[in-house]
Amino acid sequence: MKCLMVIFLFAFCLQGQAQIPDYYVYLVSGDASISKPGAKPIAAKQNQLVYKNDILILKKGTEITLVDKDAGFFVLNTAGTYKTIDLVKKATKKNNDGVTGKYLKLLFHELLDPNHDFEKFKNENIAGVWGGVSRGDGCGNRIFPVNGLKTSVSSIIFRWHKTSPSSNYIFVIYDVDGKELVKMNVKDTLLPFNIAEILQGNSGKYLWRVTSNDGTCEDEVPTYFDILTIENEKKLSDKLVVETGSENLEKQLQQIDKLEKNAFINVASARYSALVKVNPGNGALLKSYVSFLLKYGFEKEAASAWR
Amino acid sequence: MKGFYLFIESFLATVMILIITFSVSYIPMKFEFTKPIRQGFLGFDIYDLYYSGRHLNPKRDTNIVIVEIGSDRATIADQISLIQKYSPAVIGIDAIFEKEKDEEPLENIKLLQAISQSDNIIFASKYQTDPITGKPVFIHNFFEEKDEHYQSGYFNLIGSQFSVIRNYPPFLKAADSLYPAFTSAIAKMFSPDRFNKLKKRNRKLEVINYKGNLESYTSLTNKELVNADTTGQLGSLLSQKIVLLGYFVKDKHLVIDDLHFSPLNEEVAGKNYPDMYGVVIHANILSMILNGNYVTQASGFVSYLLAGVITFLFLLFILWRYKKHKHPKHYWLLLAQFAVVLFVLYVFLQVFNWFQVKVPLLPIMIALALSVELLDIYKMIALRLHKKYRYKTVFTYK
Repeated sequence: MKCLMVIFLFAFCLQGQAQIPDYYVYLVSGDASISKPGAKPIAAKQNQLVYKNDILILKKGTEITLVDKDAGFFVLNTAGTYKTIDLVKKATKKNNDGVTGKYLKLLFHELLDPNHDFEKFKNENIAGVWGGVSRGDGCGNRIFPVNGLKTSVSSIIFRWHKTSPSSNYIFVIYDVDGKELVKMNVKDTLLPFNIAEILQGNSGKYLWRVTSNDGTCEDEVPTYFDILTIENEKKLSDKLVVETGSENLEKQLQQIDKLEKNAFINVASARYSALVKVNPGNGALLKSYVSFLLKYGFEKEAASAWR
Repeated sequence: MKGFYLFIESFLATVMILIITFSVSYIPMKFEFTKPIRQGFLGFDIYDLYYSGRHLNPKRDTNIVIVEIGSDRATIADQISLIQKYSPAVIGIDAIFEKEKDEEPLENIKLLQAISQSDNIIFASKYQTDPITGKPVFIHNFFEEKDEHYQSGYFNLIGSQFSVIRNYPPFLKAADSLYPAFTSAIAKMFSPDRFNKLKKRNRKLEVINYKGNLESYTSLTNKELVNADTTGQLGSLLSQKIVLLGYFVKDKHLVIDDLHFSPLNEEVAGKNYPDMYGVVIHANILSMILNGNYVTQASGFVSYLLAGVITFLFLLFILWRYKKHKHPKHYWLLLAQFAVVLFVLYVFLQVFNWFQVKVPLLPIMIALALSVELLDIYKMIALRLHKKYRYKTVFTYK
């Protein structure tokens, strides 16, 4: 009987051990999901428990921070699919040498292997350094119109950051087939354009870029903006945010945020302006409106709103 | 009684070596030609081995959150407003707003508005010496009136851009006033008890007991901060915590801007790339203060005393060998000296590892390095004294 009890106790302990989660989610940034065996993946959330058999799926640009039972942190930031059981093994493998180990390693390198400082060729030495630079990150020199802007305004002020010491920029607008519609030299970092006149009232997608011969970092790939008719703009923006007229301030701000994220900047700006007007004493709202305007380079509008 | 001379001679030789060691410390090391010695030899610290590679430590100090500071004043103002929503205990801004930019009045207004609504911000100031008068000057932010300052602390670290940051001054005395460091001011607001403990230690310099690099703290880029806000994750991260707003670059190549050498650097000796941002150094100092993990730094006197004891024992051993084998081989002496140096280094490294006591090793190492050669000089003097005054010495053999 005693033996049976011991066996049962052992079996229960093992079962209990299996139920203890290996990690919990400390922070998620981006698009990460957790999938249990045989179940659909669900979006990873803060404080969510992660068990040994779970699978983590990370999309590009996502970072997830996990915390284990011993309060050890584990950060995953490369897109891919990870089995939690593999992460546990990987995490336990990482151990720091004690000072004796480090000291002996130092002595070995300094006394017995003095050529470790790359004078003697070894395969592992060549991995430590490389010539050339990485490319791929944007310079973000263009301010407005933002990529994918959808607008029906007839006049756009193109704005960009100063990148050229001599302030000699080449400004180009292309149509969707890559044909140059406008090409001009500009000495400033802004250029007001009667877009309706230049594009002869044609709606559709257009691309623009601004470069210089002596610029430090400039995005070469043109970004597009979408010229819409007033009716189309209204239709699309209304589709995006349905107004019932009974929205509170928070809801209205969420709608503006949605419009902004979908690049309806002018519509979002008009709504923001109206919202500020009906809430004259709300300093925080005014501040956030001013910040919104400054983000897109509407400095005059920001100054007048602040006053 | 015969052995007594060994003690006397070892003692006298040790005193001579210590005097010369002390004199060596007065050799000016500011000359350009001494740069390799400074960087390669004097820049080396065996205690760095204790910290080297600590980035593998997965434990974090969750009391401190590091946020990438915005690139302009308007963004910083937005960041302050956003962070304040989650009631942090302290916000430390590791940046100085020196001049009021006239061309950007709105940015300044926004910043001032965000600041005026907060009473839990610690600002940074900069310590400088006036080039003309030589008097200490603290550079404050543009919005601080001449005699009315916000709560602030100087954010200077000790050394040049090539120095390994190992120590920092928690307080600076200038013109009869005691100024707190940036981290001391934050500690004062976050935990007065811990601040009092730091003050009671009354140290001019504190050794920074590093916890780890950026990985040892929760760090958020500006984009991640906004994302965490919209997804409702900031509450547990920031509430009643210390938020440090400072410059760092995450997940990309390091950028040499406020980037320093730290003892955590993988390369303990020789050249390498600086590895730690200033804001992370401040976070490490704060972790040390808040957890009370101070390092005890032995004084120069203790170091010379230990140098004396170790050299004395080493010389006693050599003289005993002289007595036994009249002409011990020189290479044998050098090997023994080398072994002792390595052994002593290891012992002090372990003492630091176990008890967090740091003994300055330079006097000990110089004394040991000079001991064999200087013993020859002592031998010459002893033989001359023996010839003239019948001075008793172990070297009287043919």
